[in-house]
Amino acid sequence: MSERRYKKLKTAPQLKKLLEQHYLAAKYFHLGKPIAWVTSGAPVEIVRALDIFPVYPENYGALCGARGASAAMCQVAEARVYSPDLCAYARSSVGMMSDAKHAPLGGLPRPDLLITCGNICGTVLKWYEAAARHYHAPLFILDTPFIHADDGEPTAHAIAYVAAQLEELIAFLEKQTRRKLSKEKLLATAMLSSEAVSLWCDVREFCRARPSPLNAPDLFLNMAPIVTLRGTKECAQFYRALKEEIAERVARQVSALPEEKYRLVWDNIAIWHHLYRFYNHFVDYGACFVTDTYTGGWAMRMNDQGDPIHAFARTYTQVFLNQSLRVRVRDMADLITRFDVDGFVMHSNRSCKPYSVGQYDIRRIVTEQTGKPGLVIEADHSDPRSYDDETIRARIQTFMEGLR
Amino acid sequence: MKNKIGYLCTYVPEEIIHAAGFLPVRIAPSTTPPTRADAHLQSYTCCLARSCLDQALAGRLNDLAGVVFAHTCDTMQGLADIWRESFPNLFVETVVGPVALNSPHAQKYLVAELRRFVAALEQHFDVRVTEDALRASIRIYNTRRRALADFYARRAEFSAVQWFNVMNKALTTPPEAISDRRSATSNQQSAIENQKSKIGVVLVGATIDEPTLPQILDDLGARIVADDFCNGARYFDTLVAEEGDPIEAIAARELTRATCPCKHRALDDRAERLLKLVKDNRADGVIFYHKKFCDPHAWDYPPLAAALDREKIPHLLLEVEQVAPVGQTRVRVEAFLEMLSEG
Amino acid sequence: MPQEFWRWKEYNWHAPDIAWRNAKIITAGVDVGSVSTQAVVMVDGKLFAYANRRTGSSSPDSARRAMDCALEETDLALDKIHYVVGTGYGRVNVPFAHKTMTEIACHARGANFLYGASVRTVLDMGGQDCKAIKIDAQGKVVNFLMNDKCAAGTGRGLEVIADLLQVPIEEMGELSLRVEKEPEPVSSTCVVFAKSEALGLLRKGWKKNDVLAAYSRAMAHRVAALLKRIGIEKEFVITGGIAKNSGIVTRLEKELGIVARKPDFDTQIAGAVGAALIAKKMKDER
Repeated sequence: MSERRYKKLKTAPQLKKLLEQHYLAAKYFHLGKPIAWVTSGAPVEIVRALDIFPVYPENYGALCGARGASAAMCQVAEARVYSPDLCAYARSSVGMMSDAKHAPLGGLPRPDLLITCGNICGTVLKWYEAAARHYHAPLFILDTPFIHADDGEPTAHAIAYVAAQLEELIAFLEKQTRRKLSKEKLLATAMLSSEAVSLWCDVREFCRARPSPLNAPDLFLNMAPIVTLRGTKECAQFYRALKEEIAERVARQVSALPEEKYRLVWDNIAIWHHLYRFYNHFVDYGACFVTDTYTGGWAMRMNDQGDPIHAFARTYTQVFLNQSLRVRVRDMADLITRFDVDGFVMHSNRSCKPYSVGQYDIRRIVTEQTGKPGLVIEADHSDPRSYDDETIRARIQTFMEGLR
Repeated sequence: MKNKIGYLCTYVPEEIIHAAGFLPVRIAPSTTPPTRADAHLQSYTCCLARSCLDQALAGRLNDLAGVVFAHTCDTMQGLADIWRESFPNLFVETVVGPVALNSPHAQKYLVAELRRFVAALEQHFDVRVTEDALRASIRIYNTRRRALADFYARRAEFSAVQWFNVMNKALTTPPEAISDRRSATSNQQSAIENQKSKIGVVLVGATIDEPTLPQILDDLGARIVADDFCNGARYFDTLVAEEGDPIEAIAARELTRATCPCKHRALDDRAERLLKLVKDNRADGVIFYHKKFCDPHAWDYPPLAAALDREKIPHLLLEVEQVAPVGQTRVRVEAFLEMLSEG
Repeated sequence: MPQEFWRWKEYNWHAPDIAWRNAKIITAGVDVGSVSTQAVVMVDGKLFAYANRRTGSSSPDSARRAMDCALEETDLALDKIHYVVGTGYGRVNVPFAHKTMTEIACHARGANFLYGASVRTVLDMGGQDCKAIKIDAQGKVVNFLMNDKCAAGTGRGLEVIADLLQVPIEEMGELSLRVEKEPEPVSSTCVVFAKSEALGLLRKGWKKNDVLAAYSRAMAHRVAALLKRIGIEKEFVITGGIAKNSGIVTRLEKELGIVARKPDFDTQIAGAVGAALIAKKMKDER
């Protein structure tokens, strides 16, 4: 397994501990709290406020990818006649459901509840249906209508629909847990969530500095608590510590790379199974991924004014993967400008159609608008069988030589 | 003035388009391999998306005044935006219907979304979609649905290829022209023979867009006794209520008609429906007819196969690209039919 | 003349002491595959004669040649055969066949005859495709899965590698097992890429046997995936030409955790045997 060739973070052990504790707690120490499997775009604040323990199968999928266990888990799913063309996170998860013994960490704990929110993709609906059938656990679907509008504004009726469903979700969870949701607890959880998100935004913004204090893999790894621990005190504490460390790096002009010669933007989910090997190809050229479109997905802020349900409805409907091609062009161009980059790289991810379909057009339009060149790499976020290092290295070489 | 508006998915409300003065026509994949679509769509998207876009890029859909999408799968979601980029002056809209059909709020949401769609049509084309026009369109489309249901009731009189041609034509011709169905050549005698001797199969999938499989079934002497295709039985499933508010009625149909895997009503509703189709039509087996890279149907396959296995109903999976390869499809179907006749 | 490494031996066989003139039913099965053609003649349900020949560019000619070859050293003529069933890729092109059946039905029946009624899972690795067939005690098909989209588990795939490595196809299996340490499998069994990947390995200094091992391992893995999808039940047997490749069979057994019953006959004839038996059943029913 390759090693990272750029600066290690002081908070890295803290991150590791935090995530390990999360998985351990999920398996052993949830103290009778009901376990809910939730999608990464679900309003977990409501779940936490009701003292339900959230677990993230997508994060587990990334873990399988990073540990090189994805192919084996996917093969278990394929033996159960799931198509090899389906999302590798989902296939890993289905494989784990059938064969937890051989899965990393012995698999995820059984869900008492399933909450799926379609704001990231259509796959999570089908994946969670499969989980519901397997575990006979109650399933709640939060349907967040896709926003095709150029300005990224959802329709009023979409927000009303989502808000009404959030009330349903609360009623559903109250019934399942036989508890009542405390509005104060919800607000407190939402504020903790906002705080962590705000700190994370600050961390990401620090990378506007020249040289950048972080490279994209740092962003991918450090994003994990925002997804899996958002709404907890530990999460906010961690990002406070991380922000301090990064602020210090910027103050001392510490570069993530030994020598930053090029600045790039990354689009799509990370290539988990070859995380360091792949990004090291760019490090070879002194190219640093100073920002990306993926880790900012959880950089939405909520304010404490007005009705929290309405705020959740807006926040969770406007997640970037629920937005149109034009909004994604706008956001990419904005990152290119604000982070002063030389080019961008888009991962055409076999496993993630909502993120990848449209990339060819986005690449063309963004280059037209910003004058910066873009490269498309064909791979998969989790299944290594779709990764061809030789071909990819050649394409990176051509692209980087074009940047010189 | 162009008087046709194209759509790809049958969740698009044809009555509304019709009431606005346009003929809704289904855009279907052709049998020509795409050449231009690769600049916009990855190879891991389905042939339906790639072929339909390709036809548009090749200028073969220039007689359309607009294209309307419905929210279904991730590929269609992305395709709608890609289509807008490629044709900036074309009316391109998506009716973002609910996915959670079991939500008590889905109807209210869909009604508002349909009204938004109506307003978009009115504004772009400078037309008025009146309540009367909607009612009239609903009646016309219901008549077509009934006619197709009648045709299905007599399907034993027709060959599989004939069935394919009728359905294929139906979705691109004006709904007013329904008389063809009744006068289509039929063979009463073969109907009687068919009931007795031939093996009957139920076909399940998204869409069937070329006749290779129907031709093979005819050649091998098997009959399609029922199907669960978007451009087959599910197209005309459930009528729209002709009383009450027309938009409410159109929305209600969308929520109650036979579902496709992109929508959720209950965990077992598709399996129950499939088992019922097999039992009611005394089918000998089921053939899944899937397009490669069609995620929603691929997801439903394991639970549907399991439901069939529990009832000991034999089934076969065909995964095809743009045109089903004759030799490979034939040997599988032939072996499957041999298996059914021995058992 | 340069050695054609992909070429395997063509041959025929006949039973030394079956009196066909007193027989009730004489049937034949002809399996016209993309790579090889077999003709099998059965007399009252017993193997009488068979031949295995390479398929040429014309299916009807290949069928005739195989038939002639099977009957060559006997005094039985084609016109004395009561019923012929054609099977395989070229089944509709057997001019003297009375009926056709797919090779799936025929391999099922053939495996049942050749191996016995306890067989439940048949893996046929043929010239151009690979099939997993579940059968019952009568040799009837219960379920099947095919892979005809890629070269994994097919003769064509092996022929390309045999030619590339200049190794006679009959020796590939044994040679692939003579390695010190089992190498990692090649990443792609796609014949298009495998060829260039194998060349790459040779250039890196890999020995022929190790390349064979890597390729065999990848192939076995793909075939195992097919079997897992359909579910393997004992007894498990392999038919088709590749059953003779010990390198693939051994690795397959290891990955599946099940041993295949070893044949004491030529596995390539299973389809034609099944066809001849089905021909007998059809003649019986008339």
